[in-house]
Amino acid sequence: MERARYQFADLETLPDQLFACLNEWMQAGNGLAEPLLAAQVALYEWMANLVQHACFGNRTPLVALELEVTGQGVRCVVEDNSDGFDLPAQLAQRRTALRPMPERGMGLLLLHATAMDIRYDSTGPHQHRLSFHIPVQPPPAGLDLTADAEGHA
Amino acid sequence: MVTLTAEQAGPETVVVRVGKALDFRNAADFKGLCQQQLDLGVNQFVLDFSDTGILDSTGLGAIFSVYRQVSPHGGRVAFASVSRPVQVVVQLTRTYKVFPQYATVNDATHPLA
Repeated sequence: MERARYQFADLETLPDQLFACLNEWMQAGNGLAEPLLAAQVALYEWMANLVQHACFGNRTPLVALELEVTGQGVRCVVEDNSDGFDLPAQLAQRRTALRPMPERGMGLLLLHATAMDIRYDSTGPHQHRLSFHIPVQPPPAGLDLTADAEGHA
Repeated sequence: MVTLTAEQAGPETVVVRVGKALDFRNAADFKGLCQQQLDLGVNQFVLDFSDTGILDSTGLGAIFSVYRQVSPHGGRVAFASVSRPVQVVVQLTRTYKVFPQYATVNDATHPLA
């Protein structure tokens, strides 16, 4: 399995469907379990953000996921028909507000610390696209949730 | 989603079987379950992750919430039977610095055995 595309039209079942899709890839035994597990972390945080916070107006929510696995890692593209949001501003705000062991608000930061080459663009009216790459090497930097933004525990 | 369960393992110790996922959908249920245990005097929480495929940031935040309540009083939150997906989250977030990990629930509930 090298590339696959999935469509989701039910936000309520999206988390379980996402998990099932990724599990399928991991069962395929392509030797990329670690990047796929990291991709699961990043994708799940993004999808959770969509389910909880995205605004779809009167439109039926539509989310599409494209996964591509190569020897270098995993590439992910998520497209949706939400109103979108200012991702850089949200990341900056949450980075500033980060405290040790936060109870909420670290999902986007965790995605940012797990993935590389993140891009979030508007591709048309009510069309947005997130893409990122999880390389085999180096492993993700991660995000120390036991420390604050200045690194103090 | 599989219901979270709690099982007494000692006068102040409870094992919480997390099940398939601890995420934004059931984090409030997890906190409620743990609060019930806290109200009964439990201050040692062992989280059984043996079947867990998903631990997201909201689930982790709920665990932090429990930790905050027990830690000042000598209590602890330990992870047991950590599945590979949960281990990836633990490594990414450095939470191994805060939550001791054990290979099995038995090891977690009898650390000095």
